[in-house]
Amino acid sequence: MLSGKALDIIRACRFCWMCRHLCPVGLATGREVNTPRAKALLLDMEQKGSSAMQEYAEDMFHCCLCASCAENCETGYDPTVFIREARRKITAHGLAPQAVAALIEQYIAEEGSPASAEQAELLLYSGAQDTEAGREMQKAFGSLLEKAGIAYMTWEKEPPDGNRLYDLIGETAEVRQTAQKCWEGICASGAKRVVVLNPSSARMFRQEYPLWGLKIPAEIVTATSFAAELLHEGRLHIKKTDGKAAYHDPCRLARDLEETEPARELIRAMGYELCEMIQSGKLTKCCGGVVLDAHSPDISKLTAESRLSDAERIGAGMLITACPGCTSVLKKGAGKVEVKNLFVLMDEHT
Amino acid sequence: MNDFMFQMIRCELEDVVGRENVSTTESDKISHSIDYFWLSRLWEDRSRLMPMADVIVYPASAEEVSKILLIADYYKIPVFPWGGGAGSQGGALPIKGGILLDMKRMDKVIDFDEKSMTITAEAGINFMQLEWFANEKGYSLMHYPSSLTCSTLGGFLAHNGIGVLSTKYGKIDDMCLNVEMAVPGGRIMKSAPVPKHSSGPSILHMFIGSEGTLGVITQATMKLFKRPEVRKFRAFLFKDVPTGLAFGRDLQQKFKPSIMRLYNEEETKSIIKGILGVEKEGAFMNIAVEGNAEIVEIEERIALEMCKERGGVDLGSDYGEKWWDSRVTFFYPDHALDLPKMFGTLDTVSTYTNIEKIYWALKETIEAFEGVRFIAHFSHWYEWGVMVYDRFIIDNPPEDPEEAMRLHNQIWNAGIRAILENGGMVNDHHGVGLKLGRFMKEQYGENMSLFRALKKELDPNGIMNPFKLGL
Repeated sequence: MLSGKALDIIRACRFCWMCRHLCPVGLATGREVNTPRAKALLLDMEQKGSSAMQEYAEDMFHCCLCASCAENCETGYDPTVFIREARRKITAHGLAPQAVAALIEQYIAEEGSPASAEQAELLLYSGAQDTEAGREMQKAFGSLLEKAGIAYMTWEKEPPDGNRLYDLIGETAEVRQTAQKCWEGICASGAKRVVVLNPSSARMFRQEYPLWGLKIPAEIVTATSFAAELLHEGRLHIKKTDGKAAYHDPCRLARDLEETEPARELIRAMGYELCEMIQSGKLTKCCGGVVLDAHSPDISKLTAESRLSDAERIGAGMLITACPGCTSVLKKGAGKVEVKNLFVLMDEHT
Repeated sequence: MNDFMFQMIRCELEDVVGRENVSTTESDKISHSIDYFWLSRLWEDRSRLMPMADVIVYPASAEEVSKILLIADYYKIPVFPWGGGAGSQGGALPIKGGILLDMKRMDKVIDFDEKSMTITAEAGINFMQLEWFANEKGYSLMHYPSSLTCSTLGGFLAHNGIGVLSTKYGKIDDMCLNVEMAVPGGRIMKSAPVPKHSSGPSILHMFIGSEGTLGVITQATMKLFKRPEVRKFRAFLFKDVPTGLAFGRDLQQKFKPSIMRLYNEEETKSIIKGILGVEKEGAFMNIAVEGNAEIVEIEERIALEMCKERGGVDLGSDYGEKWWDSRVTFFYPDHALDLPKMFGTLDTVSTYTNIEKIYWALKETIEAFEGVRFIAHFSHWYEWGVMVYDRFIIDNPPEDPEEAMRLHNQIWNAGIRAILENGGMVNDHHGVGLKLGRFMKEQYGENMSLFRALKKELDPNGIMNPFKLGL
């Protein structure tokens, strides 16, 4: 059952073409069905009995929920609302594609242990400990904190925050249970500030958890904002370099958390000439994201390469990003531009 | 077609583009069965299924398109090219089954010639993406239709569209140097490298506006312009539409504004109320001048002097600036005309001598239908004439889709015939498609034989986009 809100958006989007120039999946695949209009149309027709769920089940998962369509909509409609709900419905009917169903099972089974050897007021939450890019980023950020003389604690095995599961099945009991365990861990840690490396996790903590009654009794700070804070305080001594670099705004950070400037400040502080891609800031083009990459790697390879070509076209030798997911997805794409994680790069420069 | 042969042909198509680029899923078929044509939207809204293609094919090169057309021609299977699918005339609808060719994988910029100020791209590129590509290097294509973000380069060329800056920069056929087109039988044809020459009739203009009925546009070379130093707006109020039309005509003898939009009395009332807070009679006009700052200053002064000479009132620059900033807002849900309303745009073009006759004849014809509202403005100006953008709106059309279709088509029949009787064209810039195909014979009479001869030469088996453009 889709909500009234989702049905209203479906009816508005079914005959609207205005955002297709921004859809990273639609642009990269060239498929009409990978546009918000087509997805709305299919769901609208299902409501009327002219389309069947099993026919479009796979298509609903071919979207990275980056919300560029919503950001662009002059009326304010958000297609990700109905896409998330459709996914929940498809999964509830047992019609999720095999790769997606396996992933859902894997995400539900993930457990963590929110225990730390150290005690500190600052908790560093990665949100991506299970990926190589996430581990590298955490290590680099930890190193930066140590160089800045900041005491912090981490969890050896973080409980998942539920962002990936939320993208696949929307607001369900399973997602809430996952979120609840993570929330309990953070509450029990006694941290006053939680620095979050993964923007998708930061978004969950700030925007979704409170809606589910899980208000975190600590300040949630993005890693980019925190690092910029350290820079302002003179705690980071950065060695300057030169070269042209572009910054890939992670969509959750730029659009959902409305944060675009701290990362740029950090890149400039390293001496790079920052060249901007047209689709940057809140208009950023999603790389595809880790969830899409996990179940449909062929598509995420196309979206990543599309983004790499944006950077290459403007003459950037390096594409820097501040998200573990973006780092790993972009690195899988073939291109001449070197992909670097912001904090790994900063660690090399301090 | 029997299942065995269908599967045989499908294998042939897969051999050309790869298995992953041939689809027979219901979701792909449905997605390509509805475009911006009001009747296709009505059909969906009333739970009726539109005709669908049998197979969707996604080519990646002109060579692949050509091979697909060779297969289709051999088996005599209809082919429907699809760009953004955002046309309002039903031009891309696969109304006879067959193969739907979605061109959006062909989205590469092939050449950027800064010396000649041209850009060459594959036809399936989203036009906004192409514009951004040019913007990155300090240029613009200066083609700004409302569907800028929705459509492809090939789609715009196929129906010969126009943008809001046309009075200065031209229609898309004025902006195009050459096109490449794959036609049935395995040929890939090219127009002359440049559009202006004395080397026979223009092949370019045989391809542009052919709406997929002759072949598939696979790439094009377009003009680039330096982005203007300044763009300034000015709004005027004239006593009536004829005074505004004369002003627009005469202004072009001095210089070319990029935008000129003159509204009829009905639209003027609501616009003026929005600007001044009072209802005032007259004809409202919004113009933009742009380019070199010094020249623009002179042009603005001339426009103001001419307005004063004709008894017009200068309403300043605020309206134009707001209009420019929000010009696409009108096309988003809840702002744009949408179901349950019935609506249509009878855009046409004619000489200054005829355009007023057309406007009045159309107004009278449309308003004769019960419960119909009629609004209009004039934009896209030439030295010899102008386009009138007439719209009809019915707030409560019949619930029954067949009755609604009947009424819709009756209004179009009456409207287009009123246009033709007074010297106008079937359409100015939205194209002909399925919606207006039946009027092509009425427009061209015996001259349709030229189109038919071209069709016969390039598409002898009639597989290309059947029942569109009256062919």
